[in-house]
Amino acid sequence: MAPGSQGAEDGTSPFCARGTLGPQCHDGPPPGQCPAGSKVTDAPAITTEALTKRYGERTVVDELTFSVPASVISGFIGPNGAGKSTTIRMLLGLVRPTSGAGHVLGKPLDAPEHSLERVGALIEAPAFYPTLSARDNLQVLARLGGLAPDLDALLDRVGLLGRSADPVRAYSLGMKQRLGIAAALISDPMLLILDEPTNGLDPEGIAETRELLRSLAEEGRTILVSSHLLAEIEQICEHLVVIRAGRLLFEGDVSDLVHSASPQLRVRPEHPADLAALAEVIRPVVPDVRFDAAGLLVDGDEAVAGRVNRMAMSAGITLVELHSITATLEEAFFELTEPTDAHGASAPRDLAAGLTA
Amino acid sequence: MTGARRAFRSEWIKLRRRRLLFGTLGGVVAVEVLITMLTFATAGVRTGRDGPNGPGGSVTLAHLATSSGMTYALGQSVTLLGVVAVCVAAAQLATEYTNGTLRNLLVRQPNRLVLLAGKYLGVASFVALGVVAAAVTSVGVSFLMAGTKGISTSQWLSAGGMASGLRTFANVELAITGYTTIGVFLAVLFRSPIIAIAVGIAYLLPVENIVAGAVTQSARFLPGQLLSAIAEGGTSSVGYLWALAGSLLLCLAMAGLGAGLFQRRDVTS
Repeated sequence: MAPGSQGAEDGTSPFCARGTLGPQCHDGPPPGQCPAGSKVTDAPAITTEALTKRYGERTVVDELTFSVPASVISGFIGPNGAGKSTTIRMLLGLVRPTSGAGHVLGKPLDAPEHSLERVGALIEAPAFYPTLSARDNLQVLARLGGLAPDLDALLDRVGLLGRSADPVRAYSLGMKQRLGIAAALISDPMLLILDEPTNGLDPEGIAETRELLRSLAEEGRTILVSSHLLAEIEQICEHLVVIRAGRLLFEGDVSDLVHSASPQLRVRPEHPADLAALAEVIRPVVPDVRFDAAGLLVDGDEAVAGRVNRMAMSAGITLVELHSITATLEEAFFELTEPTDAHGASAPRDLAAGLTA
Repeated sequence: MTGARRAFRSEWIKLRRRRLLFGTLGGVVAVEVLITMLTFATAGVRTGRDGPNGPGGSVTLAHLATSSGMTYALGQSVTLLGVVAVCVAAAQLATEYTNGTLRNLLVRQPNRLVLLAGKYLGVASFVALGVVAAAVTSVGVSFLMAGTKGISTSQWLSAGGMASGLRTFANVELAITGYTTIGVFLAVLFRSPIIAIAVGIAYLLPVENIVAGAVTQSARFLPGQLLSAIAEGGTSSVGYLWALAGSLLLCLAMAGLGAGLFQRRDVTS
């Protein structure tokens, strides 16, 4: 049986299976309102199994297998053209997979009318009817879904209540983005899929969106965020899925990816005039020595640090700074996604293979 | 059925936009005033014994005085009303592709056929409202023009005249629903309002008329000619029942093909 589908055939929800009230009840009731007798499991909110999409000879998504845990914020990142949007569209029933399978909230992808009831989505650029007001745009979606949301509360939550009667054509990109998030929330979703939710937002808007996503996750909702702002992803996501050329490069905790990046050391001599000499002295241990404004940057862990220190001392160079630098998600991402051969082939690195195994 | 009703109600939020609603109704009324006035102004004086048309193809004054005279102009305006219907239907659906709003709609109503059915019913009801406005306008202008041309309207107000008027109205509604189907089909086929509308207008106005004029009997198989024949209660080249059956078959074919395309195609816009 496919992951996440347990219980679907016997009529019980795979997400309400432990007899407790809880946020992971994905099927039917609002967050935190599982009916008595329903249960909660740790079933992933999204799973894909060898999901593939081809357009003619071009393979956009290539046997992609990953899962998104429930009730956390997951990042979905990859270079441009990696297949993120196509994957998201397949999860939402907009694009038909060429092969493979997947489940959203325990329901198979080929039955989106069942899987999308409790899903909200913002897909690429926010799309609305420009001559309709924000309120009417939301009303279109509410009526279509047979929903009766508190639109005032929804608009207030994204900071648009005061402008809700204005036609959307008068909105800035940032306001449209906020409206897109409101539209995604209209079904009180258990799973939110957001493609570039902070695109076009100013720093204040980005911070507000970050807090909004955190608060939504605290309510027990699962959030899958695709973004190019890796610093944002690093701040808000616990879990990460990285793809390139349609293939999985990494799946796991953000901290795992960051810590898996090659460790670096910053080395600074007491006298700047010693920089070149220091570089020559330590080159036998660390061939790749880079100069930066504060000193030298070298690849290496604590063991290398000790050897560097001893070699500097032997050469009569006093170090005033020798410490390891924690890689950022951006650095780890680039290390993970840079092409591995002259043709830019997309074979996962050993690192990624090890982490996803 | 519930899903289609929701889609219908959702569609009407867009359809009730003032610019679209009053713009369409204004256009329909203008078309109807023009055609009705021209119909009466160009009516010939021959007797209608050989049929309604006089010299140059214009209707005779005698025919306009018969029980079918009250809504004669309405039946004649069906091609232009049909073009309006094609434009509205094509624009309403095709802009969902170009705006990118279709993907939002499909997340809230993933059953594509239900969504398409609801949207079709919404647009069809909107266009039907336009036909009501057209009928009211045409009848009103007909009475005014009858007075200026000295045409007796006593037959119009008889039971037979009322029945004839209602029959013409129903036929025009049927024909316009067919045109709406063409518009929706073109929107799904081309996924672009500009292309769908351009192709629709180009086909229904010049192309089909040229083909119908150049190829004998071709009017019996051309959608626009068949729909016009329904509105007029049958013509000399296309009988009413043939027009009904032919239109039904063509519309079912377009609906089936359109639904298949809408259901199967990836939404990438």
